[in-house]
Amino acid sequence: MKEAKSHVYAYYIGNAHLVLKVWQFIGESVHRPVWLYPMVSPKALALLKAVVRKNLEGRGLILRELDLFSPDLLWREEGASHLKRRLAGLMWQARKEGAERVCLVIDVQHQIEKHGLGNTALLKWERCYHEACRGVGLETLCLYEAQWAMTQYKTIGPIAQIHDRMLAEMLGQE
Amino acid sequence: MSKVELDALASQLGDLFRETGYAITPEVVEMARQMDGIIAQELGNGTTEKGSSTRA
Repeated sequence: MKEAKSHVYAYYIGNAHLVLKVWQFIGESVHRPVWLYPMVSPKALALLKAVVRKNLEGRGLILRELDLFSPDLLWREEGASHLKRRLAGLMWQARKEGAERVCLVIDVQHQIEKHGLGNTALLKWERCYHEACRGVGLETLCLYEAQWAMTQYKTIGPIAQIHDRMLAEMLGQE
Repeated sequence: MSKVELDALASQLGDLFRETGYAITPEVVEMARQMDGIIAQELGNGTTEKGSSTRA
């Protein structure tokens, strides 16, 4: 991640690698007020907190906790617009309290396990989330456990192509 | 690379991280880069990240 990016997909192996991906994502602006919403496993969150304590104590990073994506949103017609309103409210509050960046970190593997999503539901879930994030100003880091991706898709290639298309859609609409 | 080897690398990175007291040292970053390289081979286009550069 050499340049600032609003929406990033990345692949990791293990919690330490995951946390370093988050570090790369936020690291460029550690002196600016950043709100970070990590939607990751409890173990990854504990490690992330330890890293923040060690490396960013007293700086502008604030870890927030919020579960934005209840699975029932997936199956409702208005799911994305409902989520967009929630995200817009969150952004408004963050800006009001001085945040310059608001970043959402999603460990997709964790969400799949937490909500019991299959491949079809996962794609629907991602579409819903993309629709909701468009135009809100929120930055996102979407993390995929690499071995899971390799098992599910034989290689990561197919899932990476899906991401390319989603990013192209997002770029076209922002 | 096999699943066992990937797990071993991930475990090594976790151990190294603990040894540094969770400090982001050049060694930790270098090891993470090695893992990125292995995943990039699977990805086939030399990067483990895809992103849009829309932020001001």
